Amino acid sequence: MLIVKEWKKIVFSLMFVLYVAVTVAMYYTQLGGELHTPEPEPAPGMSDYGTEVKEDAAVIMPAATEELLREYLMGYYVTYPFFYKEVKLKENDEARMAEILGELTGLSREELDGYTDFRDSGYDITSDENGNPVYTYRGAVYPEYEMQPVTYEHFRELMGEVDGMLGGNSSYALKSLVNTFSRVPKTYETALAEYQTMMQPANLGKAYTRLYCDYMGIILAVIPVFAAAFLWMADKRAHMQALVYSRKISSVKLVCIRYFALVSVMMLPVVLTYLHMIVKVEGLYPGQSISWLPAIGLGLYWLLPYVLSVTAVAVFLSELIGPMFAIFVQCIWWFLSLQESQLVGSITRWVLLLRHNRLGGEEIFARQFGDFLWNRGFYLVLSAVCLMLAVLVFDKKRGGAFARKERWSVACKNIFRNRKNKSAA
Amino acid sequence: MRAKIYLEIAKTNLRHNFLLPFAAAVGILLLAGLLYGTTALDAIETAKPLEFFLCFIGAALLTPLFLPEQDKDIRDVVLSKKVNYGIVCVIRLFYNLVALILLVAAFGLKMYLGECVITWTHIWGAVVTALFLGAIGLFAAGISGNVVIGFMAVILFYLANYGLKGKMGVFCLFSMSFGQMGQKWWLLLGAALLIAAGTYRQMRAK
Repeated sequence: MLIVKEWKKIVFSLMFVLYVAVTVAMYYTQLGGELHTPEPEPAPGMSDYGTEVKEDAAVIMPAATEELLREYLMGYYVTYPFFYKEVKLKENDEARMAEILGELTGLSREELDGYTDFRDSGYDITSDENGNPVYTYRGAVYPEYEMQPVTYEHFRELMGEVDGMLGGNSSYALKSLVNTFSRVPKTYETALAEYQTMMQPANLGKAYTRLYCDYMGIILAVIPVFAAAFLWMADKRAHMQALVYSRKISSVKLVCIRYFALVSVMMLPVVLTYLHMIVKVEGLYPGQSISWLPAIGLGLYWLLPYVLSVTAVAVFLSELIGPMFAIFVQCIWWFLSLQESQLVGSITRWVLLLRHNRLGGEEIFARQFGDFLWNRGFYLVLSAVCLMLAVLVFDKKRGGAFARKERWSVACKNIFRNRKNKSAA
Repeated sequence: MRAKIYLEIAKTNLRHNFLLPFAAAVGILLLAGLLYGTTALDAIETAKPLEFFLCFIGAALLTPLFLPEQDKDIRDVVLSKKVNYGIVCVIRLFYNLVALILLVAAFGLKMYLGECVITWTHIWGAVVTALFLGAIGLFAAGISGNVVIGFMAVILFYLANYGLKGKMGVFCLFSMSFGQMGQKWWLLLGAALLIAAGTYRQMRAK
């Protein structure tokens, strides 16, 4: 059977050995510490219980205003459409921005534009006696101002307008305003309530699963492209492509079987390390009832789309242009996603890499659950589309479509060569 | 006569094996300009795009150095020639290194014109960081005989640096962004050893 042949080919390749090593290393180095001791119950009187995101107008308003003032004085504003982007405003928008800042700080546009002492926080570089560079931190310098009495509702309206002027996806967008500007210290009561929520049978398994998926997602969002490219190149190196093209099997069946073989084998170390985690967590909380079924469902819906979509994109691009191009595109995509994602609370509808780098945070995840479902659904659809396109390209290649293109390219080169020869003559 | 042969080898390699990696490197450079601000940055902020993103230029240029010989037929032809295969590798290494320095310098010039605090130390550090990451890829590709494994090694080493930050010791890629300059000499030494070992292994491979 073809599938067994494909499985054997992948499992006995150097790439698979490396893939297993990387997966297991990631699991042990990142999650190992969490699986040694159970999560401690918060005790009263501790100095630090961490921070929480809380919609507190008294915290959000001054923090967001200071950031807006800083960006106004810098002359550009940072947004995250898919990646980091600096936005410069047109004159009329800049004038409106000054008006908004005036409403919040009491500073007029003349005062803002005439302020020449602004300096952003950062590092100064000097040299010591040996000529080695020495870095010194310096704080930001802003014009003096006092927050004006603005209601929180009106403040939110202004921030919505600011986000609109910047083209959306800025820190001032209503959906990210609270998360960005309102991190407050957690109280003992909040920490205890969060702990008790996490320890419920339905939640404990999900909490560990989220952390597992957070770490494993980092590698699953990029490594499958290497496996797909490796297999594609293995065919080319063994001069097997012409032989494969001439086989009787249909293109749909062949591409899908190879794709399924890749995906299933790559999920193998993931499933095994996940099972190992279940055993370890059960050992950490003896006597505690943990409901694993919903947790497994969550983990599967979180991780499977990574493997499916990255592999499908890789198969399609390798077939269409080449494996090096597939690697290039996937690495850039992964890098941008890695840069964009915050450790917790940055699950959006489109981002490739989903992060939830904490054991608790049930309420943060619940708030983003709709976007989580949408996101993973989108990547499942993307996988199906890329797989269909891969089948189409493969089928065209079998029919000689791209070979004709190559012949056309050679013909063009010959025309130019002939012209050069004629002109030389 | 010998110089003429080497020049011919360089010309042929530039025509057939350089354009795609160079296009990828230029793509990374253009993307760096889009992703990162390049105006009025202090010394630490200036180091970030140079170390965090421009290092991939080294990977794009150096990792596929042995790509043509992955095809056994081409490898047999190259090895049957009178000119030593090691010299072919050195020629490829040379023009890729020149391209790497020029691309990093071009980005450095953009930052300089954008009134960023940028010194020669930044440019030197960025070139060595990119060279080391490229050398990791080249070494892994040389040892395994597969360029895909080389690129995978690059991403894994980058990820280790990203996750472990200060724990990579003298082989930390992002030392300038953490305020340390001196240890780039270790990266240079490491790059030289990795390139030598990878090339030697590739020459000896059957």
